Amino acid sequence: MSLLSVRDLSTEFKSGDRWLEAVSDVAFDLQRGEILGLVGESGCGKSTIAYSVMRLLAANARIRSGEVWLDGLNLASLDERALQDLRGRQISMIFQDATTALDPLYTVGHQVIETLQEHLALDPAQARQRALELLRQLGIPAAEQRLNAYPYQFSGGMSQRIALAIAIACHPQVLIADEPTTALDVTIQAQILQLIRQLLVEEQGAGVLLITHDLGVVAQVCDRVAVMYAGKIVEFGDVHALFAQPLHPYTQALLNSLPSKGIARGQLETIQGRVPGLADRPAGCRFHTRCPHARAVCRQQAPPLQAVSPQQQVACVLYD
Amino acid sequence: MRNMKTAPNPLAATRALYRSSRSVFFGGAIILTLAIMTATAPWYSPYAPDAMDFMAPLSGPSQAHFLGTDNFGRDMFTRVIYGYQISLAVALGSVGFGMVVGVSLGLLAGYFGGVLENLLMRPMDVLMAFPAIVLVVALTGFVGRDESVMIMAVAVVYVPIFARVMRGATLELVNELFVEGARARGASHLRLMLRHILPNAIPPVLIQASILMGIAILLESALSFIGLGTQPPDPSLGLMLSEGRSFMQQAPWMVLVPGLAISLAVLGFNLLGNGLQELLNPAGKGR
Repeated sequence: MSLLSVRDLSTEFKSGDRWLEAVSDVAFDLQRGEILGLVGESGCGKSTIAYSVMRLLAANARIRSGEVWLDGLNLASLDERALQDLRGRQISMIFQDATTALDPLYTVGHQVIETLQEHLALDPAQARQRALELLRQLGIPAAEQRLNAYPYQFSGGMSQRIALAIAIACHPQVLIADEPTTALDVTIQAQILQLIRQLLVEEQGAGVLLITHDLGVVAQVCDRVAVMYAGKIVEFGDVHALFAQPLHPYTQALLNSLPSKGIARGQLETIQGRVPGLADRPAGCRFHTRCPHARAVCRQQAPPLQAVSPQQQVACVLYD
Repeated sequence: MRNMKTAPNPLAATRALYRSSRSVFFGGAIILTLAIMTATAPWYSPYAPDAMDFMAPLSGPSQAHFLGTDNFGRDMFTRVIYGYQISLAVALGSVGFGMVVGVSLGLLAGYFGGVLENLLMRPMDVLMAFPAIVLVVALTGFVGRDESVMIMAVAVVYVPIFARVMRGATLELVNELFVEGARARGASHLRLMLRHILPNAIPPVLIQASILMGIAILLESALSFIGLGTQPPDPSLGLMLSEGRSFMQQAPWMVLVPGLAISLAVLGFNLLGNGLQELLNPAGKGR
């Protein structure tokens, strides 16, 4: 049984007096002990999925339809009280900019302890002890002193470690990481990803939904990956299979546009055209306006996600 | 802010404050001095505020009465000090009430938005539409004339001002990532509002409070001046000013002393407020 199951999720944003769909009928399962990558360009709806799952959508956004199952509960229709209890305990989230994700007025120790005491029955001394352990686990030097430091005294990488400490403090089953390493330099990025894999996935068997636009990160840590384009998942599958043989023209173009190591200079590959905005997403397959293989049928019918092999699913008429 | 927090001793802290904002330093010094003088008045003032010296009415500054006496021979210095007592009590009371109520309303309105926001903020707009002095005169005239009525009347004027400031600050903070982050770790609405939004919204509220303290002193003086506030023989700066008018020719100190006293207190609070604004909001984006 899968850990987190997203069923036909559609989320929309209010713009003026119209509701525009940012995420359309997205479905995927997150398994225990895996890192599932969610990749796509800016504005393709990957963060919206994260916020929908956490039910942390802005006031001008709402889940139109769909279900999000976690541990026998449908998060999409759960009441706020029950959600508050789940958030931080069963399902946590870390963000891109960790330095602003911590309250500037409290010491980091206070913020770790606050979360521990909110969800677990710990007395202050136990909570402090546990916070200290967490900081040590996350490789924060001089953890004892750092507990009493304020967020502004931390670098971006250290802040993300603290944010991760808070997120995993109560042993959540699911972690949603929204571009957790985008703001960090490459060495720190690798360390943070390594910590996520080691502490959460390997030791606790939790599932991680890793949102990123960096295909390098996906190749580095993910087990499976979902490629999104304009609010839909266009390809889904095992990371190795997908990188070895990308099926969807969008995935192919995306991988082609990566600068490769061997070639010193030369024109970088790009995808023609631009991502359609929320208001003017084309009918049919949403990629047909930029697709080199587009046919007449692509303009009319949106292809469903279909299994091509046991490891790989794709939404494209080329594989019918 | 940082160097103030880590300053090792009071002297160094004072010096750091003087360097970072002269305005806050001098404003704070004025108010602190006045507050201490007022609070300790009974221990050092040589006269009672309503003790009359029939031998020396309308006498100018002298060794016995160094700011002179009024038409009943009451010591001006003593009356000013006790007048400050009333001024500061009204200012503190009205700002206190206005702040507690206004900040709560603004926090709720900004946090929940929607219908609740309209329900809370539209009446505030109506209150804001009346000029402060008109509202205060109407309220005191209607309810009665003493200090507690004055405090409540000024507080009514202040509630919408605080509500607006707090609502604005809350709207900004709700979208901050750390508030979202706290929600993501399971914080309740109450916790978010009280532990994360309220403390972060204190700077603009504090600035507003300081400026409104000054205005409250002016309002108290104005009300007492026109006879709707403090009643004789209690000493109030506005009342003293009003009593002194008839003796302006013979005893100019009777208007100069309370007038300057009012100015000094208002100056103190304005310096403090403006200084805090610069200190806490260095980018200078006005609120």
